[in-house]
Amino acid sequence: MNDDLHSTAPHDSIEEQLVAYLDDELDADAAAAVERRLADDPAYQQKLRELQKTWDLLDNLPQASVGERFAQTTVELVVQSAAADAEQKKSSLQWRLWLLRVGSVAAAVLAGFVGYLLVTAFASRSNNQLVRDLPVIENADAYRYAGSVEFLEELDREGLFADQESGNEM
Amino acid sequence: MPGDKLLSVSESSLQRAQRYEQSDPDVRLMLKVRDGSAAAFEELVMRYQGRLITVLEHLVHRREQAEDLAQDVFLRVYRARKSYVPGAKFSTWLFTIANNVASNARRSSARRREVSVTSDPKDDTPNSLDGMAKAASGLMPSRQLDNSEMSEVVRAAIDSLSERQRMALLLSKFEGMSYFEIAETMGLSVQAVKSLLSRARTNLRELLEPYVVSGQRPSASAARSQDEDSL
Repeated sequence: MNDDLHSTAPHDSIEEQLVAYLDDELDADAAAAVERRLADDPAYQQKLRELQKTWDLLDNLPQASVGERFAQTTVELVVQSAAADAEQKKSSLQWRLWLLRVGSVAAAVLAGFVGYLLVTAFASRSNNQLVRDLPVIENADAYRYAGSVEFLEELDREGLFADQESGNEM
Repeated sequence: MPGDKLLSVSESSLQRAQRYEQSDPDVRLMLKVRDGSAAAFEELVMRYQGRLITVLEHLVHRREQAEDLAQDVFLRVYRARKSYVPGAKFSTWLFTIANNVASNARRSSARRREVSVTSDPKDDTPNSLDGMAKAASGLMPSRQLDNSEMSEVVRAAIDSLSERQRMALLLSKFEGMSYFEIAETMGLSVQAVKSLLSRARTNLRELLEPYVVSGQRPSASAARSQDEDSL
């Protein structure tokens, strides 16, 4: 608790001291100081009496009387609210589940598409290699008779394969 | 070490929670509500409905609205049950929520008033202090006011206080809260509560003394002008 409450701070007005005294919010020293002044100061006493009297007048205010119906309707309201919250949570959960399903399907489709692209790219690379090697494959039997690579390179330098290369390029 | 500091802080709030659990039976009921007990919630409603409506009725002036707000407060209590940790007496926690709900309601109604047609300031509404004074003093200024008249006069005097003075006064009078508890409930310092209650009770004295002594009509506007809080 804040310590400055219990002692009467120098800037406290007389009313603050007296009200805190009536509310039993002063420590023993501060309360004793108020009581000493009360014993000697009739105006101070009068102010205390007036404050106490008007405070007692508040007892005239009626306290709210509440029927059993209020508690019942309050509990019903809370039950309805809890049910609405549960329904909202359920629909939120369903929405998330739906999103998860759609996301899974979309991810599967995407994965399939990427796979297709990869396979296609890989297959076309193999085909390109085959196309490039086609002249060799076509002449495999002739090359076998040549005996060595050096002999074939010598024939190439002499222009033996020039016609075939230009034919392939066309 | 920061970790040690963190640990000591968390131990402190744990100890506080245990202290309130041991000392306040309503905290124990609220912990049962947290664990899913509907019966405990109904018991709390039964215990606090009258006290809550009494305070709220003085804050918003209308019984029906006070009941609606009280239900809103209980609804918020229920919704907050899962995260409830006892950090104060249950009544302090409940009236903190009530104070927020009432403040929101007053702000909403103030916004509505801004767009509505302003009433004639010369009119005395049935609940205004001047109106009550006229009715109470009548042709016999020194007559004894009966209970219902006195109740209306006191009510009008309270209504003329500022919202914060009224709230602090009601919590002090009807809930018997200490200055520390009122400060916690209203989010103010203890010294501010001390000043607030002092001004509230001084204003009440100035408003009600003339009735008690001679049935004279006090100056409500004078009291209201002193009533502006500067906290």
